[in-house]
Amino acid sequence: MTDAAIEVRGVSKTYRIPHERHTTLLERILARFRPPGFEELAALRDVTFSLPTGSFVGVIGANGSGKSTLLKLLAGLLVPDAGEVVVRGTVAPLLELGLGFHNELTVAENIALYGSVLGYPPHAMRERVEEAVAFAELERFRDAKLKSLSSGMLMRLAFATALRAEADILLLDEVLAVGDARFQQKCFDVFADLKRRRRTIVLVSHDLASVQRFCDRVLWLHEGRLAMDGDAETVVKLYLAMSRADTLRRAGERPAAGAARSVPAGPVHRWGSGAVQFEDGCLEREDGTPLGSVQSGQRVVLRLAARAHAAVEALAVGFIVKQLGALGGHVIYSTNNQLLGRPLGTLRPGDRLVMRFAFQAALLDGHYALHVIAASAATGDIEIFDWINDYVTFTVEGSRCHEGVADLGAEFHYEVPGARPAVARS
Amino acid sequence: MATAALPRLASDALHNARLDRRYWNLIVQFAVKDFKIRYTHSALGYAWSVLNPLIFAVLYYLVFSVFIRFDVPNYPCYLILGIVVWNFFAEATSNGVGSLLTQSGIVTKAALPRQVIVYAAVLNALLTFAITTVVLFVVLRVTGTPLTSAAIVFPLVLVDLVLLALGVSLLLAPLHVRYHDIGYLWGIALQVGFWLTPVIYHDLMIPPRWHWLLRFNPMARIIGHSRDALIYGRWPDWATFGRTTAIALVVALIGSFVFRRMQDRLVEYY
Repeated sequence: MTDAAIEVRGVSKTYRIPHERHTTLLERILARFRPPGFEELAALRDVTFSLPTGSFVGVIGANGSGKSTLLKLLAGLLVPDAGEVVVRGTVAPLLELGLGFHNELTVAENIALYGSVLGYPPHAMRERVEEAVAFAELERFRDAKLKSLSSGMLMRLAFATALRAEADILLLDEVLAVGDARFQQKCFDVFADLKRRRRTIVLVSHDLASVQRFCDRVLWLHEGRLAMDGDAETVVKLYLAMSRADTLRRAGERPAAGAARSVPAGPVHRWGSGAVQFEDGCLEREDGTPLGSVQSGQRVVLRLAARAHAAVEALAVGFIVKQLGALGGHVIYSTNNQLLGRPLGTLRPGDRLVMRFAFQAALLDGHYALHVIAASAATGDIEIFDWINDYVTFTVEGSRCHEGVADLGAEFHYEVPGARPAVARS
Repeated sequence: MATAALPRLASDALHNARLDRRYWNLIVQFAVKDFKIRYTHSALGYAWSVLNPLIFAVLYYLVFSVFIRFDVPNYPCYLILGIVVWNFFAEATSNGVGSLLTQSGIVTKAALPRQVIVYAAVLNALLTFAITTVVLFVVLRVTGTPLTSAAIVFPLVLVDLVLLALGVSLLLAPLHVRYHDIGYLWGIALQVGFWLTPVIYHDLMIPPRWHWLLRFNPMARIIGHSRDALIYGRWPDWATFGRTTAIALVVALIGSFVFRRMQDRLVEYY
């Protein structure tokens, strides 16, 4: 127990949010004579965990689940209402990048200042300034005022300075999404290095791919409670599954069976005229059996059921594949029955349709989401009947490569022109 | 009550004063940073620190010595010393009282001992004060005012002055975060204080029945001690000087006490 870097025992934190809805002057004056109304917001409720030295821990959860509050408690910025927070060792809370940066100071001066705020020892400052300048690749701008840097350079500088904080415990709040891909890779290398040097790192992030990649352990906060505490793989999977069920409940649907249906937290929405509505859908194997996670390159089937509530002509049903996580957002693939050369006939109200899209999951390891769309292009204007974001999500595993999204199925051959068989030499 | 409270106060003050070495380093860095960036985009730069008190000294001299004909011996020195000391107090406390709010970005995101911010604000004013003190000594020299051995009391007076400024800042800075009124109130208090303190006029011009006002005004006492030390070459009456120090110390202790009580929940007040 004594080697725990962080111990949190029965910690609760409640914020008081005062009601301030005095619009007129009279109301304002009257409000002085009334006891102030406020709402209590329990940000954390009875949270207990202990992190051994050297652990790399992710904290996940929906917005407002208490992640930032937890981090601020660990940083000592907030004091718990109940319970106890014990932190052994020096802490560098990186809750905001570029803390105290000032435009009128030079790059080197800013690093020295930020470094002091983060707790660099004064004697090592000069060396660390050079290190950070080099890491941020801003040698040319070392003595330029900060205001002449681009915003990308600023972020790099801030990150470079932060990552060199000499502390036993690093608290990182949502700071991964910084810089271009190459710089991000550099930061990941630093994480790996910190991990080797047995620094304790707590990372709050919505980027589940990064969390899974770096964290040995994940804490999942749900409405201020510690919903789960376990190895990254398991917790992230359950978190995704749970979020999916939650979204469906909110959309007024029941979650269908099938393990490959899960959705991340986020702005999920559904819209459309409702002339045709999806009723069910899941990913399954080609033989119709339910599917856990998808093997990279496996052929899978997206089965969708929809019902028409009005007469519909030239129905187009399609789906969009997107990647979740750091590189997410862009469309990887999309198609519909018309593009595939299989037009649908006229539907009458009450008609039910069961559809199967078979496709090859030529994707790399990661989390993916499917949006499903039912629309009509019959009248010239496209009319959306039903559009559901993140209707099905799935995890791909077992790919041979790691960077990117798609498995282009590369093969490798080689020859050495003009070379003689090796045995000929002696 | 008072005897029980005193050790409490002392322990709080000690707690605020006991800082890791790297935080002292940080205080200096913060103060120097603000000092550096203060005059960027201005052609005269640091000269403003000197020009400001000089211009006002000339103005007050014109109004009160030429127009109104105050008959204060060695009025230029009398005036500039009062202004320099008062300006330090005004700048240090207005910096200090507002510091937690102006540095909210750092206070809410970095786990620093909060007093670092307040100390840095006061130290920043002290840097400006160092420059204006040079002007002060130039004026003393030019007017032929001799420095006597009593001048060595001046640094002691400065200790009281800094303690007082720190005390006020520590007391009001956290309150300011909660109630922004404090900022406006302190601005007014400084204006009122300036006219109730013999900066421009002489103590002897005040009718005797108002003299209590000076006795309870720590700034009047501190400016008086400064003039004794640097202009009149008079050694202080140590009992009186001791009381001045006591007042400054009590203000500093109360400030530390309030600061310590409020700093834990500070982040929630923003």
